[in-house]
Order: sequence, then C-alpha cells, then structure tokens
Amino acid sequence: MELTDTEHSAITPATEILMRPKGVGGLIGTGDHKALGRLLITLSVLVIAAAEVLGFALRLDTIDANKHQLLGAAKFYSLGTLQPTGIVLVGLIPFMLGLGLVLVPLQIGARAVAFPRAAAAAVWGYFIAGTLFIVSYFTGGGAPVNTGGDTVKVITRSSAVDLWALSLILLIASIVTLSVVLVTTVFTQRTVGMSMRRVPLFSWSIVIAGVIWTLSLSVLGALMVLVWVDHSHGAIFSGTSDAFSQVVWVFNQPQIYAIAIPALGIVCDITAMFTRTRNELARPLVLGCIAGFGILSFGAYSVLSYATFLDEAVPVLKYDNPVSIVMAALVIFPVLIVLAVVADQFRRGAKAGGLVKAAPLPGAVVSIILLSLAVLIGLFAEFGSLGLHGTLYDDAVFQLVVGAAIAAGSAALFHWASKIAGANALNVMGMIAAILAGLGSGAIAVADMAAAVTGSSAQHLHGNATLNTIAVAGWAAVAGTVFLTVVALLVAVKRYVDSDTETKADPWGAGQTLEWATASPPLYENFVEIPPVSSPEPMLDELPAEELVPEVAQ
Amino acid sequence: MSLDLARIDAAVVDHAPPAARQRPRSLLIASSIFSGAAVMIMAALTGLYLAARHVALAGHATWVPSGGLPLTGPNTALFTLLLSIPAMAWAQQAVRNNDRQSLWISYGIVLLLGAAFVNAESFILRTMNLSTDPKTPVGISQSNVALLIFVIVGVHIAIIGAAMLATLVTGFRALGGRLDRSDHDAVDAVALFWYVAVALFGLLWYAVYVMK
Repeated sequence: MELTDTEHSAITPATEILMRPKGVGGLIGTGDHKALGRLLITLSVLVIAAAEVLGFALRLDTIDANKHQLLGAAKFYSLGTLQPTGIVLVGLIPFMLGLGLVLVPLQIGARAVAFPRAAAAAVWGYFIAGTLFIVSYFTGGGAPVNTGGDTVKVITRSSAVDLWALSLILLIASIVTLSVVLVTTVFTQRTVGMSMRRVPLFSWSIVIAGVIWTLSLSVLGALMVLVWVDHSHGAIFSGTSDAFSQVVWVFNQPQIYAIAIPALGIVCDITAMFTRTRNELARPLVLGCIAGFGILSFGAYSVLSYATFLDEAVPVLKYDNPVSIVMAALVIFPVLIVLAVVADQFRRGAKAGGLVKAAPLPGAVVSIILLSLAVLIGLFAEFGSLGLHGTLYDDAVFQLVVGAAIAAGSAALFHWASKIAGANALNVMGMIAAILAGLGSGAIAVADMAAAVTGSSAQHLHGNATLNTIAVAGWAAVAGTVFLTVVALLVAVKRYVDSDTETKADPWGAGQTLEWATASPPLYENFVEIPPVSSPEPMLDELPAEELVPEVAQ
Repeated sequence: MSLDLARIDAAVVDHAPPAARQRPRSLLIASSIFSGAAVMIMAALTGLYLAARHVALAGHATWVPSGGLPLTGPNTALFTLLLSIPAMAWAQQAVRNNDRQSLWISYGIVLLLGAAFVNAESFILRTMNLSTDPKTPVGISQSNVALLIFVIVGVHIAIIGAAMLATLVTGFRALGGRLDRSDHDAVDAVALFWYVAVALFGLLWYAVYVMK
C-alpha cells in the first residue's frame, strides 16, 4: 500500500456528508465540489467566449496593416493586453480547474474534495478577482504596456492600474488554492484500491498541472506585488511603465504549454474510452509523458529575460540560451509519444471493431494535433538567430496551444456533459466545434507564421493585410467553437430539465473510470456504493467478458 | 487450577489501546504545496534583487551604501527565528505524547518569537537608510534598492504572518481537544510551513542583509 492510499476504515460513509444546499443561499454557502465546479466552468467559459470575441475584434481592427479600423490605437493597445491575460489566467486555467473540481473526486472515488471550504473561498475569490480585473480595464486602467513608437496615451487612471495588479494577485491566490485542493484530493481521498498508478489520466494531469501552476504562478504573484508597490509609490522602476512585460512570459513558451497539461489527460481519457482500449503497457509511459510535459512547461525561470525592471542590462537567459533550446526540444517528445499512443489506440480500436463515433473524439484528436504542432514550431522561436521572437511567430505558438486547450475543453464538456449538465449534448455540435477549433487555430497560426517568416510583422501586432484576413477568419472559427459548445451545453441542460426519464449513469455505454458508476448528474454524496478498484479501468472489470471487445478483454 | 489462556488473550485484546487510525495526510500535503509556493515567491524576488544588484555593481554604481543596512538587527531577527525551531519541534513531540499543556506552551513561545521577529523586521525597515548622505534618508519612492528590500522583507513578513495564523488556529484546535497522538497532521503541517518560512529568512538574511 502506498503512503497516501486510503484504508477501508478511513472511507467516510455517505450518511456523514453535509446536507444538500438549496437555492441561491445554498450555492453561496456550498462546499459541494460539483456545484462549485459548475459555477467555475460557467464563469470561465463566459470569459473565454468574451476573450475570443475580443481577439476577433482586435484582429479585425488591424486587418489593414498599420491602420486601426475599429477600436482606435488607445483601446487597441489596452485591450491587446486584456485578451491574452483574460483567456489564459481568467479563462482557460480556471476552466480546467472547474472541470477538475467536478470530475476529480468522481474519478478517484471520493465523496468530496479535501478542503471544501477552501475550494468555495477560492471559487468566490476567483469571481471577485475576475470582476475587478475586468473593471480595472474599463475604468481607465489595466496593464501599462509599451506601445513601441506609438505615443498614444493608454492609461488614464493610476488607481485602476493598482486595481489591475491587485486583482491579478487575488486571482493567482485563488488559482493556487484550487490547485492545492485538487492535488491534495488526489493524494489523500482516493478510494480503496485506487493507487496513484491507477488514477485516471485526467486526474493525474490535474495533479501535474496543479503543481506546475502553483509553483510558476506564485512567481507571477510575486512580480505583481512588486509592480503594485512600485506603481503606488511613484513608479521608480522603468519596468512599471511597461508592467505588461512582467506578465508576458506566461504567454510565451515554455510557460504557455502549462495551460495544456490537463488537455493531455482529457485526450487520453477520451480516446481510451471511445476506442474501447486499455492502456496497460502504455499507461506508465503516458503518466510519465504528462509529468514530463508539465515539468518542461515550467517557465518561471525565464522571468529574468522579461524583467524590464533591470533595464535591458541583464546578461542571463536571453534567447539562444542552450537551456531553453534543450527544454524546447525535449518538450516535443512527451507530446509526440502521447500522439503515438492515441494513434495506436485508434488502430487497436478499429481493428477490434470497438471504435465509438462520438462527439468528444474529434475534439480530442484536434487538440493533440494542435499541441504537437505548437511544440514543433515552438522550438524554432528559441533560436535568436532566426529572428522570430517578438514577431507574430510567438502569437502562432500561443494560438496553437490555446486552440489545443479550447478543443480539449470543448471535447471534455461534450464527454462529461451528463455529469456536468445532466444529459449528453448533441453529437453533431461537438464534431462541428472540433473542426472549427482545428481550422481556426490552424488558420491563425499559419497566417502569423507566414507574416513572421516573410518579415511583414516586425511589430507584434501588425502584419500583412491578406494574412490578417485569414487570421480574422480563424478567430471567428475559434470563437464559433466556444459558442457552439456553450449552446450544446445549454441544450443538454434543457434536455435534462425536460426529460421525464433519468439519464443513464454511463450514457455512452463505454465508461472505464469511476465517474461513470454514479448517476447523471451525480448524487450529492457522489456514490451510493463505490465499486471495487483493481485496475485503472474499474468499470471494465465490472462487465462480463462477453460484453468486451477482444482487445479490451485482454 | 488451570489457566484459561484463550480467555486471558481475549481480555488483553479487549483492553489493548486501539491501533492508531491511518488518516489521510491532507493538511501535510497541502502545507507542502503552499511551502513550495512560498519558496518560489521568495526565490523570484530574491533572484530579481540579485540580478538588479549585479547590474548596478557591473555599472560601478553604489547599491547599498556603507552603514546603510547594519547587520545587528537582521542577526537578532535570525536568532529569534532559529530559537523558534526547537519550540516548534517541541510542539510536534508534545502532541505525539498527548501532552496538550506542553503543546500550548510551545505554541505560545513560537507565537511570541514570531511577533518579536516581525517587530525586529519592522525596526530594520524603519531605520534602513540607503542614502549616501545620512542626513537625507531616501524612502521607497526614491530608491529602487529600498523598494526591492521593502517588498522582499514585506512579503516574508506576510509568510511568517500566515504561519503564525496557522499556528494560532492549530493551537485553538488543540484547545478544543481536536489533536492527539492519533491525529497530529495539523501540527506537522504547520511545523513544516514554519520551518520553510525560517529557511526562507536564512536565504533573505544572506542575499539581502549579508551580501547587501
């Protein structure tokens, strides 16, 4: 037995769990991980949708290179900092944590998260921080940003800049707290028989992501404290007049890869289920790949490269640094190995006739392909001699990773819709959403890379008019992915509300992990009885041998 | 008269203390992760401080003027925190011995030393003078060195404050009879965070106060 395994006597019986919360008061005071997770998913999906629309508007604004069509220069620069910060820190990371909050306890056979009140405090902290963050931009503040040669005045209120820094500090505190809650839950609340080697891959990816986010975003929090204190005491550091540059490392590789760590877990869980394959041999490899990808996406060490506090005089960790190049090269391997494992699952599933054509599958495939492309092209950005850093090439890598995370997130919502919304969403919408995510992210990346390579984007936010048109179409497609997913979820909720019959515990009929053993939507105490766990796919162990396709039965 | 060994064995088993229940070490794991976050925060700020110092010294600029940051206060603060380590270890041992009185006393000492440390640090910040002219002290609005030191020390005080708060809460839990030899996860978790906070001051003491 492992040190953190749960003994039989330590399992909390369902009768000891608190009463189900009711109404708005119940929601505000609840520590139920599912209610909190749904709230977090809802809020973060709204932010992602808004950020995608904003990204579309920003690209439309500069569709004619060097001329603002829609927003004007001041708004363009200001909202240009809001979009990436919003989609990564207020959107995608909280979204993944929201998914984890709903699903991790279900996957590991726990009745609750480790610290329900801390989880509730973090979710409401996120709500407050996210609101203040957005308010800071619309009250004349936001992130001070270097506008290059443009003399436009972006910031009009100093106190709103302080609000921006403080809201980011609170946001990071909420993300760190939620990460700690989820990591601790996986380590200490697993049911009997669920050793760490048997933890479902999504839960495992949340553990890795939680640790990496905690360690790396703490550094951003420290920088924001410095920015806040400096800015509120006269801004003696030159860096404070370009405070956004202190945040940029989060959006560049390797740190940007960290938002896609849970995407690997989502992809692996979905493909294993819909190809009806067990991964006995490849499983340790995949666990290692997710961990390796997480470690190699740790980018806090690159802070000094962006520290304009130091007036360009820092001789360390600039591009062409051998360590960065080696890390950028190594990070390719875990992603490509997962891609190979996924391809092998398809081969085995198709061969055994066990392939299930379902909405989440295309999203998972699109996600792993986009991530593979991101790490492959990301390597070249590390070579300073190629002159790609600081151009739209960085944006191409960013968009591919964000696209991978959005595709995986969309696939996850379709996959676990019955656990989140109460019923499955429409299959066809999931497939269209996946195609849009792939085409959209690909179009933006191709346009950005072409602009960077042809030298038509000396500045980050300008480019070639034709290429910008392609990118605008790409933005529209990615925004379409998010909106289709939202609509599909609303349809699923309506189906659940209108339906007279209960949704099956496993509406796909292919479940492998414990979340498919509980009702849809799950009971307040998660399980009536937790099935015994003797393998990483306990639900398959429950089935009679004749119901398994030959490959699965092995 | 023959002894009924089976009955005696059964009686011994009935009266034996129950085996300690294996509890999930939730608080200890959470404390480890929060400690990691605290380490990263201090490492980032100290790294920036050292990088800025390196840039200034490479340009032959004055970083901390002679006598601007005497070592007496930081040494006192360091020894204050070092003294708290045996007190915290005493608390861990006390809870394993079901000795609540010793637990409260040791926590009282830790909190007292923590408060003394905060007092020492605030004294250092108040008396710090990084001006080359002692008669015209510079504040954090005029000196980037002063601002960096203020932020690093301030953040560390916040970490110590969080550790003191956790100690206080755990002490109250012990007062309510919640902690004993079978359930000392909270005491160990607080102790871990405290030790990390002390170690972080060691880093700060050397990088900022000794190296200047």
